[in-house]
Amino acid sequence: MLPPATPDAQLIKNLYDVVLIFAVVTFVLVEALLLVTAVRFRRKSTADSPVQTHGNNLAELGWTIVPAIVVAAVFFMSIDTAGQLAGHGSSTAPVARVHALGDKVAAQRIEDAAKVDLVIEVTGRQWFWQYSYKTDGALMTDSNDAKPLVLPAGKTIRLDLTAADVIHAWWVPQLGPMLYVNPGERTAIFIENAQPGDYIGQCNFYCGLQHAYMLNNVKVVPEAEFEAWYRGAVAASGAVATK
Amino acid sequence: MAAIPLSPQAAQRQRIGRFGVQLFIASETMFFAALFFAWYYLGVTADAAWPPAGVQRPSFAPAAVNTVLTLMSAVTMWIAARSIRRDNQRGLVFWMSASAALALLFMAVQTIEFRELALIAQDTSYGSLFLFLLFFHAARVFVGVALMVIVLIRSILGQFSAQRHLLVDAAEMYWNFIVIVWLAVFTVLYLF
Amino acid sequence: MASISIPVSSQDKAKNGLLGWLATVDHKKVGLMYMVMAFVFFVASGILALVIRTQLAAPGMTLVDPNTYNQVFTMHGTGMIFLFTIPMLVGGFGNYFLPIMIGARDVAFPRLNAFSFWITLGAGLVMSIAFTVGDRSAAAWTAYVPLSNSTYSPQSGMDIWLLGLILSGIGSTLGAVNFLVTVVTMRAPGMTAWRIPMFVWAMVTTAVMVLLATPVLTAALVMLVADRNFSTQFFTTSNARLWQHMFWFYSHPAVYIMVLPAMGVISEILPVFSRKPLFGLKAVVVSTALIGVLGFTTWVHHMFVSGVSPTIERFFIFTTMVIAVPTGVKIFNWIFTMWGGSLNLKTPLLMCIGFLSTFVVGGITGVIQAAGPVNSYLHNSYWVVAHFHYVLFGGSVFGIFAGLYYWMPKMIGRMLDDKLGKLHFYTMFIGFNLTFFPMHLLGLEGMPRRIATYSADRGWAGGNLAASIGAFLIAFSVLLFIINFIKSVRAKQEVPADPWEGNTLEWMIPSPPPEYNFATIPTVQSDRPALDARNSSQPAGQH
Ligand code: HEA
Ligand code: HEA
Ligand code: CUA
Ligand SMILES: [Cu+2]
Repeated sequence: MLPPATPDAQLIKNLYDVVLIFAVVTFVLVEALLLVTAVRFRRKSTADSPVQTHGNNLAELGWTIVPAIVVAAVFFMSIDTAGQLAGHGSSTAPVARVHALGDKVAAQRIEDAAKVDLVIEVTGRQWFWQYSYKTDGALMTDSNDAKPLVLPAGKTIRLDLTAADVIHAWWVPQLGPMLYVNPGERTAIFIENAQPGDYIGQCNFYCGLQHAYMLNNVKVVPEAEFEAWYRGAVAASGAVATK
Repeated sequence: MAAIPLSPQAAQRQRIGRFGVQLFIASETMFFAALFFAWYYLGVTADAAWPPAGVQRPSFAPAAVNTVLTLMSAVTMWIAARSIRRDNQRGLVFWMSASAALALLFMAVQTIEFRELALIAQDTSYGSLFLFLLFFHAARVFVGVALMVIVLIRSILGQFSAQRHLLVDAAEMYWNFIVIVWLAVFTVLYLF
Repeated sequence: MASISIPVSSQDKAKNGLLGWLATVDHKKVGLMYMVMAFVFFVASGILALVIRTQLAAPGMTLVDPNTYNQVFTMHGTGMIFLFTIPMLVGGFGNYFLPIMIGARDVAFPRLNAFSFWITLGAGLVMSIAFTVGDRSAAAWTAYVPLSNSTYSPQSGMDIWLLGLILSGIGSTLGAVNFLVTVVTMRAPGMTAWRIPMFVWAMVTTAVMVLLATPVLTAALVMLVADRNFSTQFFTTSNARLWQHMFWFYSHPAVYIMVLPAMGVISEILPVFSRKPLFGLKAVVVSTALIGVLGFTTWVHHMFVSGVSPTIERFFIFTTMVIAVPTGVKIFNWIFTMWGGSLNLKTPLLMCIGFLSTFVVGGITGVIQAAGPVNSYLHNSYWVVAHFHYVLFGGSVFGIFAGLYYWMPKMIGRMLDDKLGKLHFYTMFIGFNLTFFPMHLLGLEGMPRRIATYSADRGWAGGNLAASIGAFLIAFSVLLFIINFIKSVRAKQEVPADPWEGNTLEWMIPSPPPEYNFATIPTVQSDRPALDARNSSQPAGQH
């Protein structure tokens, strides 16, 4: 996996790393067993007549229970990480739907906007992204083609995602989970405590002709630098102050 | 009634045929289950009301009439099938004609209803699903009537007996399925 | 007893003419026609895969433009799934061997069976014509709305694609009815539940899944057609997720529809080539049925990042992972079928070993990507492409080739050459892993699927080049198979009824079998009737 740049991305990577160990061990054991069997029991003579075993209930119970335990472990680790991600404010649940489906925890988290330092409205279009910064100072829309989204480091940022035409997906692997960007629906994703750096993002839901070229790169800069950039951008775009 | 027993092969054919029809009905059931799932899913997740504001539910009366017709046809169908099991050819002809008549009446009422519905189908998901459920049910009624007509012709020709009446069974099973689908449609679309 | 003897002379020469094939209702001929059709679509969809791989071999290639690329992978996926894997396994192997294995002379509804084939072929032709003469569908095999609606896919190719899928769905539903009735009502005397061959059990489970899942896809397809052409409002933008639910409610079971029959095939081959009975037949049957049932409960794992609620996500993580358990039972039972046996390492067995070793990889990557948060990294990346080729190619395709090498002598009365077969196996195995293993790494490095090209600075060039070389190696191996087949057909040879010391009823009748299969319907005494017959016809002490 690409090196994580937020605690959330780190959580995902940690989970992956542990699950991978389970997976590799399972893989090696099963393949080794298969290889040993295939080599050791080659036919030596056409007259071979092996013992006719029809099964073994104890052994079969064994290879039901052991994988079940492994799978249970992987399952509990997964939902544990999912819970932690939720605790961090990251959510793969859409705002509107959360209410409809009555998931209280997720709804609460999203309502709890006090922690959020910056909200950005992200609109996916065929085939570019559009960003509107909503701070209490000014509203500024930055229509983007290949220009990165600029974010301050070390803050809690919420992206409100929606699409103008077809489904797209927000994916900056180093910054946390991926989420579909659906038309007619608003979903939210949190970016918390990101480290400064340039991160490549790419639309990850097939959205037609130019899907391959629809980047959503992100540039995370220290807070002071962000403030300077933001003031400059507001001035340049002639955005209106909303206070 | 001197019943000539069927050869094992012929009895087997009847079993095979009946089971085939039952399985076909199972798959038909899933088709309607999918449409009902869509109805339920859109109803639950709709941000607005369901039916959406401004959409008039189609009038209740024709559907209620059709429910009565459907239930009556279920009864006549049952009697028709029972007649031939008792080797009563005339009974089969009479009650099968009655069933077909009721089914045709049903379709006539349905046609009136469609006129109203065609308008709302293109405006909302609600209307589209409403129309689709009725339309695909009506398409099955059509198939059911066709089956009844074939059974009628063949029963007039005297091709059925107490032992040989696979097609009658098929028509009966399929019709029962149609009746049940209608009851579900009526309950879901009109009552709640 | 229902055993009627038919004089052998009733075999009619004229029936083998072209008209004889077109008008046939014989389950074996129908099965062969399915196989030929499916294989043609395998090669065609494979050639499309080569286009994909050539385009992606290096960054910034311009073999095809993005528009063509999108059409190509759409048709590659659709073709491989609906026109190759399902018709080959269910239509081909199912039709040919299911009736024989249960000791029947044909399926329950032979004419309906032929009709299913023609309608499936019709689906294939409709889609191919739409693909070759332009205006194609380019909405991926998943055809998500709104991309596939009339605003974003106005081309008529999209409607034709939908029509093709509806047709193929009708074909397979009718086929499923046929198989279930056949197995339930037409088994030979003595064939009790635990004497039914594993392949037949697998087909029964598959048929139930086809019967119950396909109508849901059909409903969705019909609704989309209506949206596109009659301005209905089923899948409006705010209802987009409804399509996803309906599509995956079918398409997740469909992946087991594609793998269970292949598992059935190897469950037949492993015992024969190990000279041992299937280890724990009952456990394998029960696991298969369980996979069939659980297969209906996992579909949302394709939608974890589409914005479903966390509660729903957790439920489906659970159901998805549970399937690893019955699948694992089958894997271990197969390995222990070989354990302690006398392994006849001919091509069919090698293909089975190829199945086992690669399917396990695909299964495990499936479990990894089912872990919710991990899925939010791997979803729609090349990791997923790797996963599903490991299960679909590593599972279904290896299973199909295993079956072809095993049953070819029965079906056409010619053995396939074993040396060439082994060469085919090894090149395919190496080519396969070379193609699809690097895709895991590409996914981890952030390469999304369904992209027509990528830029050099992403660091994906190496893995992609390896994958492309591997793809041509696979193509070469398939070419070897075709050569092998042609050589065998031309060869003058007589194949005995039972070249492999088989277990099941098809090995007790001539190769190829006469139209009525059995001169006398056999009475089955155990789960290995052909072995019983061999033992009783040989003086004690031998074998
Ligand atoms: C033959 C087809 C086939 C099969 C059998 C499977 C089997 C499985 N699949 Fe796969 N899958 C596909 C075909 C298949 N899949 C396709 C085509 C897609 C992509 C569709 C698209 O988007 O285009 C897909 C996508 C897909 C996704 C969505 C990925 C994404 O888009 O984000 C997920 C996520 O959970 C998943 C999971 C699984 C799991 C858990 C299994 C399990 O059934 C696997 C179980 C098997 C094993 C685990 C191995 C054997 C077991 C043991 C040896 C025991 C020990 C093991 C453990 C303890 C782990 N699959
Ligand atoms: C059973 C199913 C199946 C099978 C067998 C295959 C086989 C192959 N698949 Fe594919 N694949 C899918 C099902 C399958 N695939 C699906 C469902 C998708 C998703 C589509 C979507 O996103 O909508 C997909 C997508 C997919 C992609 C991703 C495209 C993208 O997202 O942009 C790629 C990329 O490499 C790929 C490659 C291959 C290759 C190289 C093979 C090879 O193994 C093919 C080998 C076969 C041949 C090559 C043919 C025989 C060759 C000859 C007769 C030789 C003679 C001819 C010449 C040499 C010209 N497949
Ligand atoms: Cu936007 Cu893909
Ligand atoms: Cu799935």
